[in-house]
Amino acid sequence: MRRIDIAIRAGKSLRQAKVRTVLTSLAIAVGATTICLALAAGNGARDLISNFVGLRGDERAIDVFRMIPMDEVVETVVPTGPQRVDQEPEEVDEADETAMRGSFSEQDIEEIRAIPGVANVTRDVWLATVSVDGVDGEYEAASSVQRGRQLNEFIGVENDYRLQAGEVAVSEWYLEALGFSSVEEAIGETVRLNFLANPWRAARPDNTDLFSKEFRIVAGISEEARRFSREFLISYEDGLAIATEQRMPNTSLLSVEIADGYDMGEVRDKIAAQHEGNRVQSMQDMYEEMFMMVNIAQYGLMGFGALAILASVFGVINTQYISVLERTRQIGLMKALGMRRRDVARLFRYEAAWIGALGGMIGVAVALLVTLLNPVIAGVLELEEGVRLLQVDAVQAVILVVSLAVVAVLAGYFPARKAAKLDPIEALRTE
Amino acid sequence: MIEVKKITKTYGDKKNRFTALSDVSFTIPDGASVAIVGKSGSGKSTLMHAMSGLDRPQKGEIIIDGRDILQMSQAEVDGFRAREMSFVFQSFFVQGNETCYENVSLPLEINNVDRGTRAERVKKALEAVGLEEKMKSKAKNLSGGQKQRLAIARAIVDEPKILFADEPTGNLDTATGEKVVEMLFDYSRAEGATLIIVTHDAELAAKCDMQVRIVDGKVEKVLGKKGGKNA
Repeated sequence: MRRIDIAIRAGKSLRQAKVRTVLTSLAIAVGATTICLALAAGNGARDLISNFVGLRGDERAIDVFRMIPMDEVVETVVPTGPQRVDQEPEEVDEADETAMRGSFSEQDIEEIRAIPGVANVTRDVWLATVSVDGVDGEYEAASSVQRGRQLNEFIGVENDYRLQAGEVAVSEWYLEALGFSSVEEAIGETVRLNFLANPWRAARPDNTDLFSKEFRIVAGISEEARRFSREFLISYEDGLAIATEQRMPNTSLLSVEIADGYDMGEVRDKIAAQHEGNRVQSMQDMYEEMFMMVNIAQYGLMGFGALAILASVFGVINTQYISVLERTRQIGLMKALGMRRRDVARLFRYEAAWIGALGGMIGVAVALLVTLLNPVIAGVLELEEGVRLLQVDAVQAVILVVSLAVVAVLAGYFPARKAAKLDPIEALRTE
Repeated sequence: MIEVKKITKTYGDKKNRFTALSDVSFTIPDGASVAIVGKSGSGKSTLMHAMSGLDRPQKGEIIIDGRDILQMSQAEVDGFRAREMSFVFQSFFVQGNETCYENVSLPLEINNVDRGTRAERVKKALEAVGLEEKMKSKAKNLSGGQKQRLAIARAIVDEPKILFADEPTGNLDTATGEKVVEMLFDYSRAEGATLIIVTHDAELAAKCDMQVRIVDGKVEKVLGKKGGKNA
């Protein structure tokens, strides 16, 4: 008997027992929905991370974090008594500051720079920016410093454009406040940013000493990047100079750019060997760490789905045994007419496959319906508008449905064998 | 030609052994109509099952067209039965939830007949039994007589050389039974097929070319009809 004819007969048999078929499939659908949603959430989370990390940094860069043992922190940073808010910090030499702040010294930077494959090393520079002069007054603003080849979401220049001293890239969000209608119109114009002169006195309400700097607009930045304080992006050189003027402490983070043609892993290992105790992490490492967390959560959820499917497998076995019992005479007739054992077994296996596939399709359909709640989920989790945390992948859905069909076939193995082994004479005598 | 040679079939173990057929032998020429007659429990059905390869006697040979079907593997016997034989049962065994078309189509599907040919043959078989208008009707909506006609259509659709009928009129009234019997004989005559009817209806048996009378698992007598193929 042809497989297609067996499959059609299997489908017809199931239609004749609609309620039983649907109920058994629904049991499978519970697990299928759980697994499909776990996969969809994993896809969404990975997508979110990729966008987040992608916007944050350069894929050919390695971050080096200074890790300070807790006992050293206690010894060097904790003040010996109450600090006056209007008291200027004492001038400290670089070696002392490095120890106190847990930051990297110039010597550390030079050592890393000497490692083959390192193209550039930059500090992570923090700035205390207050405002920008707008068309009708000052607007609150935050600025940050370009490090490495961040994916800046630039508009008007290539994404890997390196800002020069005196240049600034401006978020689209500020164009109107600055009196521009488009990025093209803004490019070439100047903008004045105001910085806090004494950030260390931030606790005092009368801390209003500012200094200003003018920058030439060379690019726009898409609104997406605003979540990383990239409202105004300035060059590393300018950032370093302003941070020095503000007496901002050196941070404990370095960004190491890797030259093209060098293996990221090898260079990372060399930096790690040189700076034992510090945390050396590439974008890839970061991806992997975050993906691992997502995967763990995803596999956990999938585990629950798998348990539900395991429970439903017994439903399939039960349904198929009942089907064999109910159709004993039919099986006897088919065998009397010359249907081979393997075809009889196939008929019942295909029935099980239909039940599994139907359960899978119902599960995927329910999961697709749940994805309609994406805007609500994004709202509850305070994610950006348009973020889809549940993303059903067509290939995964097809694999899921096929896998469930296979699982159901395995579940239907013993009932199918029972049908195949039925004695046709006995079967025809059954009342 | 069907040659039944010294068939013995027993059931049960040593303590509860029951001999259903004992040293049964006879020969049926091609195209003959044969009635296997006897009382209930005499072994008629067991003999039919053995001749069709549904059951395997412990001893003897069943040679059909020169091949001993008892020497074939199970798959070979199934294939042989699908190609050469068919059945009509007392209880019809039609699938109530399937249409008449689907019921009749089953033997063709088992024999890997392509879809186009199937449609033609099913139509022809249903016409032969007068059920062409019921092609799309569910079998459960047919009367008893119509169900048996449907069973005959299913039996003849693949043009078997041997047609077994196990008490084909047992569940029918006299008039309907006669029509059904007429259809079976019509097919046998038209196609030159061997018709083997298991019955305890003497009147029906008398219509056959040959009668094999079974008593307690043994052949009591083989009778040929005057002018019949075995006369």
